[in-house]
This record gives sequence, structure tokens and C-alpha cells, in this order.
Amino acid sequence: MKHTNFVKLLLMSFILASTAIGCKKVPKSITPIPGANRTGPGVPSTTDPTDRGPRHPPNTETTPTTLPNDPTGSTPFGSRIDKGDFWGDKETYKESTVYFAFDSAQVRPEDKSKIDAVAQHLKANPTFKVEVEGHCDERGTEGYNLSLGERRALSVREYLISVGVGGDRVGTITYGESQPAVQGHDETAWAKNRRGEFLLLKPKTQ
Amino acid sequence: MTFQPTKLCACREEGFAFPASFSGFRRGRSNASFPLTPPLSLGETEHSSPRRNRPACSDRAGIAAAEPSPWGEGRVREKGLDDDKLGPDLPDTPISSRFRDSRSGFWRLVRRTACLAALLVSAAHRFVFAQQSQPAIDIDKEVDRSKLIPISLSGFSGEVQTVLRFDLEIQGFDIVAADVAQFNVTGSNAGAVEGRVIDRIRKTPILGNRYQGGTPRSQAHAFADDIIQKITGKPGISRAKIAFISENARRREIHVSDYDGANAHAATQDSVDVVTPAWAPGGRKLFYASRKSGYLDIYSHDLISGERIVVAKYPGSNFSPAVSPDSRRVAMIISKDGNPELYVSNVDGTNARRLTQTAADESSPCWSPDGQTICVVSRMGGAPALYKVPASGGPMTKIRTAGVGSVTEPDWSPDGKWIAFTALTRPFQICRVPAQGGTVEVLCGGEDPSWAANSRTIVFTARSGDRRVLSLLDADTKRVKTLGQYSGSWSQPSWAK
Repeated sequence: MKHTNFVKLLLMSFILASTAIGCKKVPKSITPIPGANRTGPGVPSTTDPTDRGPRHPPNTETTPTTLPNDPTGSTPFGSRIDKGDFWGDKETYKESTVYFAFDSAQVRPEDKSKIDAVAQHLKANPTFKVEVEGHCDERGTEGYNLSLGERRALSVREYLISVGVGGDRVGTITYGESQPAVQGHDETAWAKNRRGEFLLLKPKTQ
Repeated sequence: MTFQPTKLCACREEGFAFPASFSGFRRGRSNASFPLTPPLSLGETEHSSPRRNRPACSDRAGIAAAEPSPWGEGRVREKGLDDDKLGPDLPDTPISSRFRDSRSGFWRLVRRTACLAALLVSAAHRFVFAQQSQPAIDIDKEVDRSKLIPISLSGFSGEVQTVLRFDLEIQGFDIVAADVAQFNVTGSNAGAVEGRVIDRIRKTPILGNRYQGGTPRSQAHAFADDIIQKITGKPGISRAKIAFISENARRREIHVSDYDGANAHAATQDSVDVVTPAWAPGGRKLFYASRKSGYLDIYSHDLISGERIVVAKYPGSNFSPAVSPDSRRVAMIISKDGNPELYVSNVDGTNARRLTQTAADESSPCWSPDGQTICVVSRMGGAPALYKVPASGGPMTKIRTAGVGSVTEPDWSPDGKWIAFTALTRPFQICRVPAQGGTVEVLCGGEDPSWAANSRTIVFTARSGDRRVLSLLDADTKRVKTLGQYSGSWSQPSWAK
């Protein structure tokens, strides 16, 4: 009969437990807050991962498989220029900075001569490469300006390629609106901030 | 849990979804001793279904005050008296306690002592926190007051009072005097936060709870969420996290903080420019684009293990990642083909596939909650506009945003109904449009919206001179609160959900 008693006890406790769980009676609850809101690196937490402080990332970086070039792209990149192998020179092409109309990534006809000059210089120095930096004014939002800045840099790159510079010698980078040339909140400032700048890359081993 | 008690469970709320974070709470209850006929069950049976947005009945003011509270003196009986002293140091150890209707002199004495302690603690809190953070700024002129639920708060002090007020106000409540409120919240934060909610109109208690562990701040957030859940029937978002770009002295790092801006700490320490943070579902991993290599590459960063992998490192720029609701894919902008285009890959970066074939630039993708569709901005038609693209590939369809010319930075609400976005007006405006397209509703000034899990709260960036600050918007009532922040610029927020 010991067994029956045990079953009875089990049944009884099950009923009690399920009553307690099933009925959300108002006043008897207590809510434990698991380690909430404690900050600082390395604070352990079992339930809320975001409560944990940041950890400096270890060097576990891996590179995903390479994509085949898509034939529908505008002017596909070859490989990425390793900037560690080059000296960056912002001065040589300082006067060649091109400017864009509001919300446009078209190279303006009057700026083409500036890019032609860059192209001539690059052709005369076949070991040099260039990185085109795309910038925007503050009148777009940040995510949008990243794309627009990249599109501007790519337009300049396309023009360079069209006048005979190899695509593998021209990299692009977008800074969106994060690096304005001029501070200010009027058209004078904005016009100077919608731009494409050239960073001349000279090989270190020469 | 599948066992359905028959008699005593008339109060069971069908369809009531407990947030996952409450599992500990339910487990904790099994440690408590529960009488078969607990007091105060009467009122709850009347409140078996969620109610929302009931207007205040100010003509009935005073009725509740004349009635004795069904809670008696609402005291707390503690099983372990030392638990309060242990407080935050024992976050995962639940103690059993409950409110009890008792009129003994002993408990009166206990209550008075607790009141005195509350005063002392609140004074200390005020002193400490007055020096720590700036108060949040309210912008109330656009608030639709007819949608606010009037509620009163009493017995709380210092930081707990401030947090409760903030949480309730940004989630659709209006803090008013007790005699005109629909719901009266009373309680204290002497030691642990404890509180009761009474429906003043129906004169019935609807909630009583006590919180333990964590900080007074997190206890207040938990109580606010319980109030919101009980009254609106929908989970609150007071304990959510946000990630954003913090810029200080021209150094940009990703920071993670509570949804109200408190407890901000750095998630990256690279000292290089970093942009477009986005949470993976679950709030454990952050995706973002960093210039660590000298170019913009997309990283996936596990905040627990610290592991970081490169998701996209193609020639050109890689940015604006958005993780699918099932956490298996990531949408992003990649310019390797000579144009910024929309790509989708596996969440580890493998199997990348191009979804758009345009001559113009695409930007800022986001996912529909069912993971079938990606909404992306494209300038293919001239001005930037919203387009839908099937996540498995297919034609782009423009989303009609009647009334607004240039739109950017969409975010699809978790309930699937809305797409919030930025209108490139001067100044920028946060808007929403039905997900199938239609007439735009302007919500407030600002940019870069990110929805909370409740599909009504939005965190966004506002420009304040040369500085950027984060603000919260309640899309339903249009109430806006600017987050207190210490210094620098905060922008590009992403809501963890």
C-alpha cells in the first residue's frame, strides 16, 4: 500500500502545483530579475545575453567563399587593393576633387577634365593606384548616404576606366556624410561636401 | 503545464502570452506556498480579457476613494527576512512572498518601518542619480491625448519613480492624479520594488507583485512591463536593449544600452569608423560594417563569446546588414559589381546572392516579419523610394508612399502591418505607411527609425545642432521622449528583439 500512498501524494501535489500555476492570482507573485542591467565587461548572466558586457573580439576572423563576378554589374572590381602595400597621398590630386549635384551621382561635364588629368597621371605611373572616396552632404540620412557616396565614387571609377585606367587600379570607399569638407548647414557648405576625392596610392616597394 | 484545473481557474486568461523572460518567474512561483483559496481572486475573474484605451471616467471620481481597498493594507509577507539585504547580489534566487490582508499591529509596525526606510532610500537615490544622468526631455505638443490611458503613481521615489513614469508614458499612459486615473498604481521601493494596481473605475485589484534581484532600475522596468501587459494585454518593452553608434571626439564605436539609454557600454573597441549596427533576432549577435580592414566590411559579433566573423569582405564597400527573422540569412548592400546592390547570403556570409540589378544605388534593406520579402531603398526611379523584393529573388515592386517624395531607411514593424521610414524633408521626418503601400502618416521629426517588439514604440535619431541624440516615439499616441545621454552623438539605433 506504500505504492498507493505515494501515487496519492504525487497526484495531490500535481493538483496543487497546477492550481497554483493555472490560476494567475493577483497578489502572490514575485518576479526575480536575473542580473538585470548590471554592466561592465565580463558580468555573467544566464538568461539575458545582452546584459553581458562586451568582450574584445578575438582574432577568429574568417573570410567567406568568394562570389563569382556577376556579368550584370556595372564595372566589377577585380581584387581589393591592399592599402598596407601603399603610401597614401592626399595632396597630389587635391585640386582634382569633383563635386556632385544634390542627390546625384552623375559626374558633371565640367569635372571630367579633372578626372582626365588624374587618368593621365596614373597612366604615366603604372605602379600607382588610386582610391576614390565618395562623400555626401547632410541632407540625406546616414544609411542612404553610405550608398550614395559609394555610387559617387563608383561613377568616378567608371569614368576613369572609360578613359583607359585599369579597373584593378581603382578602388572605392564611401564615407557617407561622416567626413564633411566644410562645416555648415547651408547650400555653400553642402555643395562642397557632395564630392569625390582621390587618394593616390604609391607602392612602398619602389 | 498541460493540466487544466477546472474549479479554481476561472481566472485563467486564454491567449495570454508570457514573454520568454518570464519563465524564471513561473518557475519561481513553484517555490511559494499557495493556498487553495487565495485572497483577492474575486476581482480578477472580471478581468479575464485584456482591455485597452478605455477613457477616464472623471465623473466617477471619488467613488474609489470612498470604498475601502479590497487589498486591505496590502502588506508583504516575507519568507526569508534577509532577502532584501542580499538584494541585487542574489539575482537568480527567488524568494517567496505575497500580499496578504492582515490587520495585526505587528504588521503595521513593519509597514511603518518600511515607509521610513523608503524615505531614506529614495533620498539616497535622488542624491546619487541626480548626478548621473540628464533627465529625459518630453515633447508633448503633438501627443494624441485621447489615446492615453490615465494612471496614477504613488509611493515610489527617486529613480524607481522616474523609470516607472518614463516606461508608462512612452507606452501609452498618462500619469495623472489618483482621483482622475483609471488605474491606481501604489507601492514602494524601500528595498525591493513592490506594487499594486487597482482599476479605480471597477474598484478591483488587477495586479500585485514584488520584484527581487537586479537593480532598482530593472525592477521598476519589470513592474512597468507587468502593468502594461495587464492593462493593454500586450507585453511591454521596458527591458529591451538598443544598439547604436556613439561618437565622441570623432571616435565612433557601437554601444549597447537599455531602451531608455541607461547602462550604455561599448560593444566595439576598434578605434575605427563603424556604421549601420543591426541586431540578429534574440539580442545576442550584432551585425555591423566596420573599416577595420581599411574598407567597409560586414561583421557578425557574438556579444557573449566575443567571437567575430567577417560576413562580407568583397572589393568595394559592404554595409547595412539586416538579419532575417529566422536568423538564417542576412541582407546587405555590396558594391563589388560596380554598383551598390542588394545581396542576401547565409548568416555566416556564405552563398551570397545578388537580388537587384539596377544602375542606381540600393540602400538600407529590412525584412518582412515572415522572412519572405525584403524592403530596400532604390534610386532607380530618380528619387529614393521603397521597393519590395522577394527574399528568394524576383522583380522589384515599388511601395506607394503617397504624399512623400524621397524616402529612406525603412523598418518593417514586427506585426507586419507598417513600414516606418525617414522622409527626406527639411527637417527629416519619421513616417509610417501600411506595408502594402498607401497614404503616409507623418509621426514626428527625426530619422532612421527602428521598431520595438510591440510594433508601436520606435527609437530614432534626432539632430540637435551638430550633435545627434536618440529619441523614443510611441507611434500610437505620438509621444516622444529624448533619451538622456552623457555626451557625444548617438545615432543609427537598432532595437533588439
